[in-house]
Amino acid sequence: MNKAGYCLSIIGGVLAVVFSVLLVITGLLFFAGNDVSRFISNNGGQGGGNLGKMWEKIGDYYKVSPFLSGRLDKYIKGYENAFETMTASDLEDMADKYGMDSFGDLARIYRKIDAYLPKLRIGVIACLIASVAALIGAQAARKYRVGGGITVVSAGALTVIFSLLAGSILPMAAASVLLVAGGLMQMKGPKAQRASDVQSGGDA
Amino acid sequence: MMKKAAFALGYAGSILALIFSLMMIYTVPYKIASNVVEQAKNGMGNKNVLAFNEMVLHAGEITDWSERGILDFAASVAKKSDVLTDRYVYENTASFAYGVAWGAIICAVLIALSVICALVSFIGSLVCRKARRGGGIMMLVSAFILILAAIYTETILPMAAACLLLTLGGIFALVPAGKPLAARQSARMPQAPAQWQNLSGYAYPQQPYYPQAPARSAGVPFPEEEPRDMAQSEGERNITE
Repeated sequence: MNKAGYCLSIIGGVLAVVFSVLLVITGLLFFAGNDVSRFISNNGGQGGGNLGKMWEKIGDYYKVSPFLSGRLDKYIKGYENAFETMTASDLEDMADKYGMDSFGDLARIYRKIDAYLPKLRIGVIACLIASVAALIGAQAARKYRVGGGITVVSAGALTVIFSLLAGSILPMAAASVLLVAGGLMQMKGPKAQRASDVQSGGDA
Repeated sequence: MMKKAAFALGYAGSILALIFSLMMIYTVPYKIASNVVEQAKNGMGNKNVLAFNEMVLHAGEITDWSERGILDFAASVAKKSDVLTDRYVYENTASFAYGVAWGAIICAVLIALSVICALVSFIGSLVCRKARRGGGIMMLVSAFILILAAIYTETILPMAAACLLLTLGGIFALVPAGKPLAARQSARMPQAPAQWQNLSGYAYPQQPYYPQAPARSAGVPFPEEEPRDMAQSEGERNITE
């Protein structure tokens, strides 16, 4: 067993598990973070800015009674239903109805994220499976050097591919580098064994 | 056999624990938010929301973050307010917000603790091959803390499976492995075999003697020679004769 390769594979595997679960945050952040921050900086401001008005218009569109004019529980329930049923086309409809471009911008972001979510879901699950496979491969390489090493290397490559699919390559790349390096070292075998292999080759 | 089972169960349990404890980063804030909305729907009114809004606007004036200090702050805002003058509404809202904030802080600490415990249990499962007792204790303690954190944060259902695996792994690691009686007796009373004895009365190991054994592992060419038994070296053969 190559101890350095084993350690690298284990550390890489644990990091890959951590980054796979955090892919939900990092993926969304890399994918739509700029758009969302631009939207908020354009529409925010003193006293809620455009965002406060948009909140009122959403209530009006879904026929939620305004704040203080009815009971609080009905107000909350009305908004809950509104957000559950809201679609990008509803937002575009609101933009036309109330003449607010902010709803159009929000609809664009909503549509973009809506198209991205299935990719993110597949990316997170596949990355998680690949990183668990890498951890199993790291253990298997103690007994089956080549088989375990190949598992670790291919799991490292898969985590990069799936994190690319989920739109967040940067944190996962570090884990993948460790996994690939660890897997290759495991495949090479321990130093003493390599030396004896060279020797036996020389004798032959 | 027990050692292998302990390692396998601990390894699987710790990976699951790591995944579930990281998922608490999403599930716990969601649960806190839905609890707050539910409580606001059932136990609060418009006045509470107005009072909360006004207190947030004056939040810079808070100097004492204890419960008593927050209640005093609520009373002072009620005195100054021209929207609502009912002191009890402010105090109720302040105590509700205080409870929610403390709950959120405790949950954040527990999530961090869960992630650390999952990592400790992972290390414990790796360690239990060489140090069974240490690894077993690491797994059991981590499982205990993880289950307590899961109960507090209401995420018991996925974490229970991981804790079960970790507990089984820890127990298997701590159970001493059974040995055959003969093996135990020989371990208690070591006796050198008769053929090891020579006339000088000194017991030599029976393995063949390789004078240049370390050189082989370093990759240096090893001379072809027959293994030489120490017990049959020249000097001793003379003594025997």
